Amino acid sequence: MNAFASASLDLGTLLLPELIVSVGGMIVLLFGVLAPEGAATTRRAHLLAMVVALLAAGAAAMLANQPAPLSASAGPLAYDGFRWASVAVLLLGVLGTLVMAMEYNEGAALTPSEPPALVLFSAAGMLLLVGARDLMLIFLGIEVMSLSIYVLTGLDRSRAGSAEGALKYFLLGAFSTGFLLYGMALLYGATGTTNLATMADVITARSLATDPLLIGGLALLFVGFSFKIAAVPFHMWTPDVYEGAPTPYTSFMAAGVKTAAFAAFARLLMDGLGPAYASWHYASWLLAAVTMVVGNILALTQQNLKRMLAYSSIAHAGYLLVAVTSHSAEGTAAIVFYALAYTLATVGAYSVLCLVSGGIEKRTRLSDLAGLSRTRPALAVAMAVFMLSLMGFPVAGGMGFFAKWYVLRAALASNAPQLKLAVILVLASLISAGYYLKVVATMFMTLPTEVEPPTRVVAARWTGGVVTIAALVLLVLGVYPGPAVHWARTSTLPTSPARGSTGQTPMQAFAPTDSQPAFP
Amino acid sequence: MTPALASIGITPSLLLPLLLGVPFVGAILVWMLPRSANDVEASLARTVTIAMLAATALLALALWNVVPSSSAMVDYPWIDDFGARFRLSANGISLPLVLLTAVLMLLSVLATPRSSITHRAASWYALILLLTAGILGIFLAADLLLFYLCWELMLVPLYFLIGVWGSERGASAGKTFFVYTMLGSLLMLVAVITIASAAGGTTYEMLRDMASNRPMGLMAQLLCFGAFASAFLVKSALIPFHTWLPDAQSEGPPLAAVALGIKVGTYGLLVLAYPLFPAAALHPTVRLVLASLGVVGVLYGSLVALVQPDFRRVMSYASIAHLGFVVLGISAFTPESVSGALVVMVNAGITTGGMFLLLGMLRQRLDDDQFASLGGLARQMPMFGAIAVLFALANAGLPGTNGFIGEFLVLLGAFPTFPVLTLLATLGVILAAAYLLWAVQRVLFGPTNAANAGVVRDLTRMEVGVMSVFVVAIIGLGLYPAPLLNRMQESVAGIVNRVNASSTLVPIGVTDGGQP
Repeated sequence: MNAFASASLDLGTLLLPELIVSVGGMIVLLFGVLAPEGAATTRRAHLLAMVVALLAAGAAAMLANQPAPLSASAGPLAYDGFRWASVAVLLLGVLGTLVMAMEYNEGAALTPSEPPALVLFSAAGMLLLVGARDLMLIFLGIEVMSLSIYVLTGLDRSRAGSAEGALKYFLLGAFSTGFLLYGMALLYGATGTTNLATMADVITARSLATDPLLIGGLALLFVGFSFKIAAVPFHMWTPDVYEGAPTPYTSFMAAGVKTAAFAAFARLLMDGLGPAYASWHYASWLLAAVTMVVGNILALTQQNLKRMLAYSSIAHAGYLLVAVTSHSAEGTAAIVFYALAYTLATVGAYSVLCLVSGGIEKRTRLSDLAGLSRTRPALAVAMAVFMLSLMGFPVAGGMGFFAKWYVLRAALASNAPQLKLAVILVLASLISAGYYLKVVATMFMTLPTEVEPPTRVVAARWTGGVVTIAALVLLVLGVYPGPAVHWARTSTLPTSPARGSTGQTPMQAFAPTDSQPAFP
Repeated sequence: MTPALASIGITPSLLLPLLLGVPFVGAILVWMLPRSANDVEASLARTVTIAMLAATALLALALWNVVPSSSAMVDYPWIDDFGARFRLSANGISLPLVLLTAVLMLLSVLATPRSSITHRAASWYALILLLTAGILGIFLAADLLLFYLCWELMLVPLYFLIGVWGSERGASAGKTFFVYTMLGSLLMLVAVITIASAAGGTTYEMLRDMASNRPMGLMAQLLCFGAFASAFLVKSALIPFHTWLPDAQSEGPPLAAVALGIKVGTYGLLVLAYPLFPAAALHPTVRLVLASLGVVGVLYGSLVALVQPDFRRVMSYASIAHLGFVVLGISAFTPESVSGALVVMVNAGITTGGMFLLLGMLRQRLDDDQFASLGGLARQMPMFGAIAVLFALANAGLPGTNGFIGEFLVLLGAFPTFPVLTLLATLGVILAAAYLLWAVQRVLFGPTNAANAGVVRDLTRMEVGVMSVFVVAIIGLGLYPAPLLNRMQESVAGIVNRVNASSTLVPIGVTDGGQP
């Protein structure tokens, strides 16, 4: 634990975004207690939380532009582009969630002022998670993140579904934490360290890649993380929890939790366990393939949009796992880029859902979108953009296409090209066209059904703004993705150099020697 | 024309980006038009769209005059990290198709009366402009990533045009079309990324350089060629990938049928799949398979066209048969057969496109346009009858019309390579005459259906005006095809020579790229 001591001087700097978010969360909490109870206070608490998130983003941007302090090189906290990029994507999701929640909670008459504080606490866990380079910190981050999310899921006490979701999420989350902890303990037993950088050195030096203890730890970690990122076959909780949670927090789970858990998982596998690539390569290959196919097939039959998007988010975990499987710097850049596109599209889609349902959770069926292009044309167009983006369709889907392109490129151009996985990925996204297009067809090619107007109409200008901004950013980056690609390429994770062989794929046998992308 | 353009500041190097930019920006403009009363909105959107498309057609005409026999090019940085550049070019192969697209889209809009677009007119016109930009982008792109974007961009407007403004079954026809063509495109995407990684970029120049200087192994070429061909052949609806086409063409609006008749798929096959994977493309088995599929397409399309219940489906299968000739011509890969294939591509766009618009005009007048309920229309609509007969004859390849020259060149060029298959394909010409004349006879002659008596009007002046462009093109190209042939000659010879030269450069049995 010497690393902790040497890093302690800089800890304040290293943890600045996390500190801002945590302290900000407490201030929001206090504000809620001290200010008179009511809708105005709730609104102000949300606005305050947004300011905190913006401040944290500013701090992260400031740190990202400074050279890393010396002590950060081997400490428990990473100081690299991958962390700052993940932080940026996460805070984007937090902002979207807060905006959505502010107006949704008024509509759904969820008046307490604590939710924004809970969102911030959860965000603190997420930020810690993406910066953690130590098993202890990873665990801490996951727990801090999850505990607040359990509460947010069960926030709507008037609906049984909300409580059901919270209970399921809590029980299964606790269960998966057990796996995670046990796996970490085994890893510590095998390598004698919890620090990822040291772990990679130890594995290489003592050739532990096939050590039974290490493999056992790896297997348990895969189970634990698969719960968090909702990979098949550990995805069963996802649809119920996504459906039960109030819509803004579903969006928070889909975008934030997934991004954070994925960033940590990628760092753990590529940084700490990189030398043992040969041992985990096949597991992540299989997990990716099964998750993509099963997630997309199950989404086909869903009639509730939140459930459909839940299965779609499972499928997206599979696409991201393809990037992890490639185990290359290109792969981590793909994760960052993909997370940005996915966050924009997901937050946008859930915002549309908030606007359409007007805070009434029963109105999230597919049929509630019928004829949306006639009643609210701009909203329908934006939703079509989000759906096509999630599908990975060029131009009309905007940035989503380049996200898929980047992942495929990472899979095909790595040292161990994953041709089969790439083909499975494109076939899986073909399946996904089945349900994403169903949403588009429902909005544009059916007539609106008569519905009773919502009991409380809340002006949702801010949520509308989120929809507009998300759609525009997606579209612009879909035509001119250069800056975002460059940003992702400079935000890679340093992967451990030693790589195991993976068995030859067909492409490898006849690929030209010059298969490395020729970048300047 | 050229001096006139130069006087308003449009230099030749501006023509290419303008050709893409005018319809694209037009689409955004039209979509953002104020949505007030429907009538005002519709006529305003229509006016702007026609102006944009007319400008596009003029630009295409100017390009035809400006571009020297070889090529023109513009080049801007785009996505440096992927090695992709915003690069456009035009040559003798793409120019005729660019001009065809621009003029066909303009005529399609003119032929679709304002009253037939009953709802969301601004979106309808915006999508048409977007579609035009997408198709033109396919022909003008000189970068594989840009090509792929335009290739897929074309799907979205067509999906909405067919689904929203088509018949009741349009939504399902649109979805079938979308998913079917996406399957091919996604397989192509894997191959695109593979060769882009190998070449270090996506411009055609880099990719061709790799194909001729450090080619991939034969197996890799075969796989990649297969992936490209799957995208191109599904999109051009070659047997057995054709099942989506008749539904999409007959359930969608006539304009969508015209756009689907522009042969982007075989263009991609000729300009991308052949030069990038020459060893695979000229592999004897691949050639035989493609040529056989082409001939089967000719015969199957013709036979199925005989038994269709309405004229639009007959024309769909006729275009499947035309496509068979194109594929036969490309797979034989002699200068004559490739020129012939290109001429068929252009002419099929003109004749089937014209016919679909004409049938759309008929459908405006009669809800039920099945053969069973039609007959004797020539007496009620003499002008319609005359034009329909001419289009049918041109489609059947009557000498003196544009349909003749292309099929003749294909058969002539392919005969030395595939004698038996070519003879079989000749049967298709006879069958075409049979199904087209029979269809014309059932619609135009015979007893008049009592329900239609006195109801139908002949073509309006506007409609005759639109159709006269097609008539002039059909007869003009039929009697004097030299401008078209001369324009494509050099580019075709270039591509044939290059592919033939590099097809032998395969490092067989070598795992690496076989650098010299």
